[in-house]
Amino acid sequence: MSNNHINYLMPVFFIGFLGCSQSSDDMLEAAVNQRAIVSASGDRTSFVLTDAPDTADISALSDPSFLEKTNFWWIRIDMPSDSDTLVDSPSGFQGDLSQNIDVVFTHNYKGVCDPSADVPSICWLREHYTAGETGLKGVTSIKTVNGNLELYYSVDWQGITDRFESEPSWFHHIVEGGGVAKIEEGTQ
Amino acid sequence: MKKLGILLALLAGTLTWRSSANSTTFLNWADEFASGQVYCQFVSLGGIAGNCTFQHNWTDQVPANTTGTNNTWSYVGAQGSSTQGRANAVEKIMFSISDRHSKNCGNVSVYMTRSRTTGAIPGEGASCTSGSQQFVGTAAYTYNTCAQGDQHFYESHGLLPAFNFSAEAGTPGTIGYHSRHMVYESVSNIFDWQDGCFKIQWL
Repeated sequence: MSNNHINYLMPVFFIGFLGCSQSSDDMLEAAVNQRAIVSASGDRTSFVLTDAPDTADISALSDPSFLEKTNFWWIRIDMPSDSDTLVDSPSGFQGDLSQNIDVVFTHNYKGVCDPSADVPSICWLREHYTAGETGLKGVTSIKTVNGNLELYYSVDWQGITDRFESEPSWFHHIVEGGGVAKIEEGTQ
Repeated sequence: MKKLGILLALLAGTLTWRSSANSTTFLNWADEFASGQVYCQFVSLGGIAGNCTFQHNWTDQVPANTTGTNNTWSYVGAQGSSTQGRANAVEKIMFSISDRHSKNCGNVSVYMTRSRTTGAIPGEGASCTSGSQQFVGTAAYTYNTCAQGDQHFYESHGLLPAFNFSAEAGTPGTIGYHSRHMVYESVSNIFDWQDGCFKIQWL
């Protein structure tokens, strides 16, 4: 049974990121509805990509306890701060989530609340995956270029879960995406 | 006398198998029998409403292929109930996501779920009814188009994680399944699903 996920969430994993590290010359133009926040706490650094409204300030978006209660899309990658130098390097940080690399991927998204329900409905869901956990594979790529955060992820998790109302059931979820957004002032 | 009894027992078993409901119908192997398609388009530049459309086809069905929401019960094939046989029987959905929004990007999630009947298996041609079911599992894919930045007219074509029967117990005999395909698209806030039903003869 799945038991290493927070709340009703299940683990997901990053699978191959979609393409890439790009030079500053051919960097994608940021989508207007994305924001990037980088924050450090102790020996950990977190990278958040979100479509949070402007009313949500930086300090709130840097707070995991705040994020867990939100109704907007976000992804958060938490990793050791000593990997920061890789994030700032030309090739960026690339993590293999099937390995025990001390990276945690969390995402908040709108989807089917309970696929086993007779009449399905939509709600906000949060999934939490720790690199190296059973059933997880994938890749994440993080890079900072000219004040922008470039973040891509491909996460793949499969296994038995008890998150739904039905009896424990098989679940296989692939999550892919990412984006480019300007890192908001005041974050680091 | 004892040998004769054994012989009669074997003969009776053979006759029983041959007189099963499926003996008159040749069933193909139930390899990759469901080929659903989901096409989603985000709200476009020209004010065209976003939408998601479905089409799921059950291949190798006996007596005939069916498409749409009003499927009827029919065999999609036979398959060994061994570990190898269960892994060979695969449902799959192709999906296409078209992001033509001028600014916004968002998520599309496609799901494929399966339940198995726990009571009597409906006969050929009967309408798909809910009946007594046990939920088996879900294969899902969530894609975020923001990875493409502010580029318009982006399309992604992919395949949902293959959903086979490896996680289910292998039991000889016919089993009925309900399958549901679902899609949620966040930019246009579209949610839709489509149901189907099929049978597999596990050997």
